[in-house]
Amino acid sequence: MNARRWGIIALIAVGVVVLAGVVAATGNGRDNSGERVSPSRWADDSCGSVGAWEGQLEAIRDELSRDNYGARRNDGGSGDIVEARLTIRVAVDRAILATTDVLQEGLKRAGIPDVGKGEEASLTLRNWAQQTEHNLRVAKQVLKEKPPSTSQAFGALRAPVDALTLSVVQGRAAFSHVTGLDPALGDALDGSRNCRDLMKEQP
Amino acid sequence: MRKLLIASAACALLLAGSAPVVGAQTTTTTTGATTTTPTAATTTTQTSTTPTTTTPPAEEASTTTSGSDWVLIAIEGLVVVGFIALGVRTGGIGLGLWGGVGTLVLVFLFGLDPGEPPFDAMLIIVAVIAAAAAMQAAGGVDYMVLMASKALRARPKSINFVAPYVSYLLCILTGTSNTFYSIIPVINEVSYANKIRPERPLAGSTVASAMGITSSPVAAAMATILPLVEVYHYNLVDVLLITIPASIVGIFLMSLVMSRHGRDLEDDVEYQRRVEAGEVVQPPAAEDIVIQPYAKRSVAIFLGAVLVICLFGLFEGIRPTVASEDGGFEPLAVTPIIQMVMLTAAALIVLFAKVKAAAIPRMSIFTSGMVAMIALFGIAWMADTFIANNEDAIVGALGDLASKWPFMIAVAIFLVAALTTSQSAATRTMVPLGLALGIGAGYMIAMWTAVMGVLFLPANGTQIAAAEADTTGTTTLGKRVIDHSFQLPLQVAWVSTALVGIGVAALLH
Repeated sequence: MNARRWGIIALIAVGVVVLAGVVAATGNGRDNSGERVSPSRWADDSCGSVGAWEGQLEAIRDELSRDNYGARRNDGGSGDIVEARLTIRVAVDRAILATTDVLQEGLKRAGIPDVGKGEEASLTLRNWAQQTEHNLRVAKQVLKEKPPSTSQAFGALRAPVDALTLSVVQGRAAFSHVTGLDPALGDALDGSRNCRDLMKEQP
Repeated sequence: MRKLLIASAACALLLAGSAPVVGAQTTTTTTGATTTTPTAATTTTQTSTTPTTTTPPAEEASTTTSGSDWVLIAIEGLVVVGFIALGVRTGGIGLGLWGGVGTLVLVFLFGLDPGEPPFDAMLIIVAVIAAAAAMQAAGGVDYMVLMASKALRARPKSINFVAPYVSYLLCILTGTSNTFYSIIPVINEVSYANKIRPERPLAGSTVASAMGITSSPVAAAMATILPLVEVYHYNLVDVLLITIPASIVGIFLMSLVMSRHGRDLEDDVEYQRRVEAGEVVQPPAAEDIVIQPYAKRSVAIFLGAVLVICLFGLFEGIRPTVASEDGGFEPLAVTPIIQMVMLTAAALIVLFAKVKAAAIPRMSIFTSGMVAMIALFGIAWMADTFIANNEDAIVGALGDLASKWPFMIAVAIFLVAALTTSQSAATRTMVPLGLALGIGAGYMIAMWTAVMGVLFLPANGTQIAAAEADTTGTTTLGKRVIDHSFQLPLQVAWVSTALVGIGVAALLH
């Protein structure tokens, strides 16, 4: 390998390192797991995670509804063909992944609001996230079972949809409960733009 | 390489006996659903968060990939890489043939579910080469070369900059880099006629077409990211305000590097060999090009077709609607529109430019296009077979990497795109993870441009078509899988675009 090629490789490596450094300097994530944080920061981070999770569910729903040749879209990457074959079972897998990696992780990293009932507030949301995962796993198991009749077979398809619907509604209710725990939390949730935007949309 | 393949196959044979059932590589281990359970009880409310009595099966509680699974995945990966290497060494149609063998090995020896061949890309190549070859038969390609040569007379090297921006724009307007296929033969012919190393504009344009995805309001990947960042107060305009300036700068830097990359065409060893062997003829001087009577007409039809595709891509309202799975209606996707319009353009050229249909398959564009299609068929099918069976494990591992070191999120996005060869898959898996890690939405949007990593492996249609179109041999798919012509512009582009995007995001928000 000639010197010029090594130079190019070194340049690219430096570029990647610089990029990683810039990311670290500008927005290297926030991990407040188990720490007490200001109510406003907690509200912002929690609502942001819930919003990203709901966005994933929205994307899953869109892909499910686009599963035909005429309507599906392809970016040009050969792997995008994978998008065209989204089944209910894959959709549930994705929803579980979104719940564990985004919702639960995000709520954990949001920390504990530094108010009197901060721990309870954090736990309420995290328990809801855990319950959501549980419900989805149950629904996944229902899909795996071989139903004895046609009507039950179609009924089984409802399980993941019901689980997700229930979870989204319960999520909003969990936020309502948190709001009532402490006036400071209510103010933080009301004052957070992330939370206002989240609550603006119907669950 | 042979040793590697034999070793891989031997390992495959040994492991095949213990390989799990089809499509079930990921074993499950029970860690219980309470791993992350908060310890304190929650006050019961109307939203009762107490777990219900229905218990998910233990095996479902947690899904992890064991060490032996990783060994198996690694061996399968080696098989894929080995057959790609064998294919690129064989060259031309050999890429597709060895890809087919690789698919067979993965399915029969490793017990994987066969993946999906890239039907969309293959059919688009067929439609586009039909139109482009018809235009070539009518003398339209010569006409375009002549016009472009006149325009570039003062600065022929400017094609290294112009071509990538044109392909970027086409992708923005249509939301798919599949449109790029239509200008590959033109870029190749124009650069060759002007004695510019075709690799420079072709490789740069291929990367630019992939970059267009994150700047396109109508791309599938854009539709995937918007719901994720909406709650962070980023709408379509906000996203474009970050991605477009960053991409423009990234393309410029990439083009600058590419304009100085490699030897000039006349000094290229492989090109000289091909000329001496009579495999490629020297391009005629512009003044020697004789324009056929209906050449202009064929060009007008071809470019008109590209324009029509762009209009359909940009304005969803003028597209016909089709039934969606949920019973509603939605606009017809751009992919079938490209196919229909390009086949129609070919028919119109035959009709109005007085081209004999029998002459079209004899055109050089047709031959290289068909080779590219078969090459893509085998390679992409093999890659998809590997990816579809291991995507969860790969994405999970890279997600863990990002969780531990959030500053590596851009690299993780790039690698997920590379290993899934899907911008949309990388978007839907990694962007929400980054947001959950607490990385600012603006920065995430900037780093999202790393989904151009789909070109890291030479398994994409645009790469294969560009390499096949270049008869001079300067644009290659490499000999060691990752040393292909698109690697340098890709690396320059993704790092610089992400960096500039972060800067723009910091300024704007």
